[in-house]
Amino acid sequence: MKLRPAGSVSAAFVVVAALAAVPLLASGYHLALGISLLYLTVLTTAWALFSGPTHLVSLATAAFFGIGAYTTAVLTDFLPWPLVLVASAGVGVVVALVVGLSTLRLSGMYFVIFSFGLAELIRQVVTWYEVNIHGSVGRYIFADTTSEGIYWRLLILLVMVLGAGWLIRRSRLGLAVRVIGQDEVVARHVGIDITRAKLALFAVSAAFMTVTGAVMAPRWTYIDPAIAFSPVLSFEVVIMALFGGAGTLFGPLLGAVPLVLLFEVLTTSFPTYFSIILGLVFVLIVYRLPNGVIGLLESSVPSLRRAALVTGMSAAAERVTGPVWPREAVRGAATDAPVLQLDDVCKSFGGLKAVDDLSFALARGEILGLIGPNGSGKTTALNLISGAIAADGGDIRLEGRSIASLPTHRIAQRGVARTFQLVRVLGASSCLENVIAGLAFHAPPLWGAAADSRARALIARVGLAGREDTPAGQLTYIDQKRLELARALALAPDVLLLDEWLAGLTPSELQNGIALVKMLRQEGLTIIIVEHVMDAIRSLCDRCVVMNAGRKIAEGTPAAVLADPEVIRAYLGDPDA
Amino acid sequence: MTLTFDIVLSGLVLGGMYALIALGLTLQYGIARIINLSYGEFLVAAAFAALFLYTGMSVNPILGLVVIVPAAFVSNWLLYQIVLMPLVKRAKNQGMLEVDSILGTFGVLFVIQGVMLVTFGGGLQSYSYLSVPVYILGTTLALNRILALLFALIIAGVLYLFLTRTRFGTALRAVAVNPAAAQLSGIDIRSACALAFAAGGAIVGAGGVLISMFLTFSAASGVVFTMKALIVVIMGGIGNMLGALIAGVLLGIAETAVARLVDPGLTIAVTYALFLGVLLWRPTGLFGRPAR
Amino acid sequence: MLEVSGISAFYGKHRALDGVSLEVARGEIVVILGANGAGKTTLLNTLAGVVPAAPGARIVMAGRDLFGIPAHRIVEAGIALVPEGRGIFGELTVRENLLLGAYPARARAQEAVHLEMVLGLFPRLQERLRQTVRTMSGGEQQMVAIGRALMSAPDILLLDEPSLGLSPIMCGELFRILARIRGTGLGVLLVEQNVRQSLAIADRGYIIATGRIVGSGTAAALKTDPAVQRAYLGAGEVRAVPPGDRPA
Repeated sequence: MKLRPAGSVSAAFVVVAALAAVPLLASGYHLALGISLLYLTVLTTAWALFSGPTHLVSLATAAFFGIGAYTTAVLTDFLPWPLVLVASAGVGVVVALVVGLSTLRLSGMYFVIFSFGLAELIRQVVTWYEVNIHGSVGRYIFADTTSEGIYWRLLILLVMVLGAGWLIRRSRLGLAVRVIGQDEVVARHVGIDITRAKLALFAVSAAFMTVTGAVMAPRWTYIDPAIAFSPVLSFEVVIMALFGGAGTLFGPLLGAVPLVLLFEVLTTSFPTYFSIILGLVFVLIVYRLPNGVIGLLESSVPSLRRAALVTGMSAAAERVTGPVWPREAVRGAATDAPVLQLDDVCKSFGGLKAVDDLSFALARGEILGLIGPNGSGKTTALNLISGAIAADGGDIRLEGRSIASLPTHRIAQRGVARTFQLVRVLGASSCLENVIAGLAFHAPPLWGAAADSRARALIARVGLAGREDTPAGQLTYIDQKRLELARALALAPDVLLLDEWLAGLTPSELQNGIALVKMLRQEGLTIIIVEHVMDAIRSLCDRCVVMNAGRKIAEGTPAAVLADPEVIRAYLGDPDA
Repeated sequence: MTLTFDIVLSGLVLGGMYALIALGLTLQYGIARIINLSYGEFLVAAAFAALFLYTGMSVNPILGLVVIVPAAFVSNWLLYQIVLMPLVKRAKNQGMLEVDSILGTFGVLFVIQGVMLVTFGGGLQSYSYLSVPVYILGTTLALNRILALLFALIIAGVLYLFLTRTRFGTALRAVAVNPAAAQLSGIDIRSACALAFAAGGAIVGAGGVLISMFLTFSAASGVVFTMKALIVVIMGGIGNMLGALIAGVLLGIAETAVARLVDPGLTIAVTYALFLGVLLWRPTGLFGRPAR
Repeated sequence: MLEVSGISAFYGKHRALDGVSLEVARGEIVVILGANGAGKTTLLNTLAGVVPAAPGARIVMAGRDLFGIPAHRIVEAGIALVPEGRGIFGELTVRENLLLGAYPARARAQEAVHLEMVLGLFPRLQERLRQTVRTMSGGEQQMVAIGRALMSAPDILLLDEPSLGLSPIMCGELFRILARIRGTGLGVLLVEQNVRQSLAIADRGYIIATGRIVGSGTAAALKTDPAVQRAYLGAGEVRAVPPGDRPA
């Protein structure tokens, strides 16, 4: 459903105005229902803001909602209403940051488990505070707000949270978490600081949930921890978001409205059995999803197109005739200093020395082949250079500056790009978005129209023109490899690492691939290729480094090393056992 | 000095319970790779069953174990086969299974809790069985607590022997360590996981009966127990039985200490603080395998 | 004994194997040679039931069709795989690893006999029965891995690059042991990078490239076949571009 911008804005106005008029017509039960619909929709949308793209299921909604309600109860006698809201949001953000900093750096499961008990934890802490410091557990809230007032405030909040969602999707933060949700390794290698992105989004989501609680608090003239931190709320929000589709902006709303009405019917008709029915409904929803819960969390591609990063972009890509990455004069080809230098780099896994005192230098503009039999440590060496794993010893210097102890995303920003042995593309994203992911988190980042045109040029350069909007998961294997290369080139790297990029290709595909790499070198790119396809090594590489059992055993031109008896022995084995 | 002794001893009893409960979850998470959010509900359900048997039919809890533990085994096996197996079959990778199983068992949580609420109401429950004080090392402990600890030790011991001395037990440990290689040794992974899951359920059932002897509980208590079990398992290092044992005892002692010295209302806060502390210091748990 | 034909396998979109056919008889060592990425590991995984073969494949073992049978039952049919990465249980002891190998029903009755046989083949394990496998050297772990596979009383033994990570001396011992295993009447299908040492003990071999069998023959013929060297080191005809000819 793609309306032109002007049309959809006026349509939105009409809808909001209609909704705003409801309290003037309805009252009593229907107004209360409207309020329920609104606050649950806001919560569900706020939940999906974070948990949708990151695939981290947060079970903490009740915690933040309760914090908002309780902050209001405590502060409403002291502060004017707007400041109460601000204070609630502040407390929510602080708690979110504490939770996030503690758990988001670890595997996702820790976050989910932590969020599971968070409401209980906060409830207990609040109860303790109330009992020991305040003196009584419950509090009365006297605020002169009417039901209509609450309704309108919630409506404003709904508009705000939908607006925030819309803005975030179009922003770099939105792209960052979409990438994170699909493949964290790719995210790191395009320069995304994963923890910061998750934290930011979690804080925004939590702030909305907290403010919702603050706005709703006056509904209950009396509040106590059990009321404010009800675990069923967390549960209902997850159900509604999943039902409507947590990957789209309006999905949560579409899921919340019918389910709220359903739950209304259920609580009035079967109050005692409500919990059981709720649980069964939920198990059914999880069970029936063909792609699992994650399938529902992932956006469908048409919606991605709607959330296009740049509106009104013309279909004709600008033809970029020169090399497709900036070659600033500062990074002059004049210097003879090596682009990349490895000194005595070591890495062990358990007792096995995967890389043992590896040293070599990479000259600017050359193609270096890193070869060796299986298990010789070549891919480990690449992983050490790109920062995917940390070295135990030795130093790696890029343009003279050490990168050995930097996190992956900083190394990517400094100018190291790579492809992976098992191709990693963002299957649910379009080709265009895959490449823009490489442009958007660079230092300096590229965004908007400039990024769009640069991305299209890169896509054309690797031979995928016309496929910009195809989801990457639908491409053939070799086309996915090309896309991965385009994304790597998008980083405007000083050094490009190709990890068995030519593996598994038919002879004609191989020739095309070799030609492409040759073109890249002609434009001045410095490349390390790890390969087993020796014909490619011979025709592409200026020099080779041969590894065996973690050590460098030979270095020189391909012809020289491939005739070296020690190299032959490494590959074929010793004739005399 | 007696206060310290008191805390340590009581903490040991409580910690022993936590350790036992965590052992069951280790079986479910370490072998079957399921994060079971409804775990605590089975604990509470077993507690209610013990209560019912004792107050309604004068069957003492120890005898009640004979009935409840097999029932817990069977119900968990059925839960795995009916609800979880479809999720296992369609999971394309470990991450997907974890998310699906968390949400699936989240739903089961509400079903079981709902059934208990309907059947028994939401009030606090307890019964008195063997709450006779016993003098040990200068302090008093209730007999039922000592009995509970004793049985927990027996059950843990039996589990240990099963896992280390029997062929099938070793096969289960193999599935936890390297499922791919276990397959190549002729072990049917699906059925092994189902049995491990059921065994975990049996243990939590036993745990429920034992703690019902000396703790008050309600239909809503399950969530807190699930949380603590998860935290103990993670603190000890996933799949590591000894780690779960030590972490459980540690938690029991820390909680008892805070309850006696600071405030009984902050027990969950202690749990979380301990959890965070261990994770920040050693992200794979106290005894977890080092990350690659 | 083991005859396969028309095996194809896919990783997602990527065709890893394309119509592979081969056979292995009892009492012979057959080696599969080829560069990395050629599909050697995928082939063994398909035979062991770890990776499903595309429909149309025939995997016949002693007259019985094994297509579509899950991995844990293929062991019962008499095919044992020692995978790349060894497939051992690091946290368990040597003894436990070996006894787990005898888990299949076909191997339980003769468990003690087989244990004695395995310890005879690998005397070094005798004194380390209680040691945790994770703490052992690569060579010793490889012994445990092969021992575990042998404990399942297989008729056909599949080995995926057993010499990986082994010192030259250990390599030699490994190949000597493989020859002895053949002597007990097993059929051995060996995927190896160490071309010369494996051809020295093999009876026959196949060359695989980009998922297809591109050559086969007796070990003696393959030893002198230039196709083998080509598979690993390339054609050698294309020279590297001389420095002076490169564009500025």
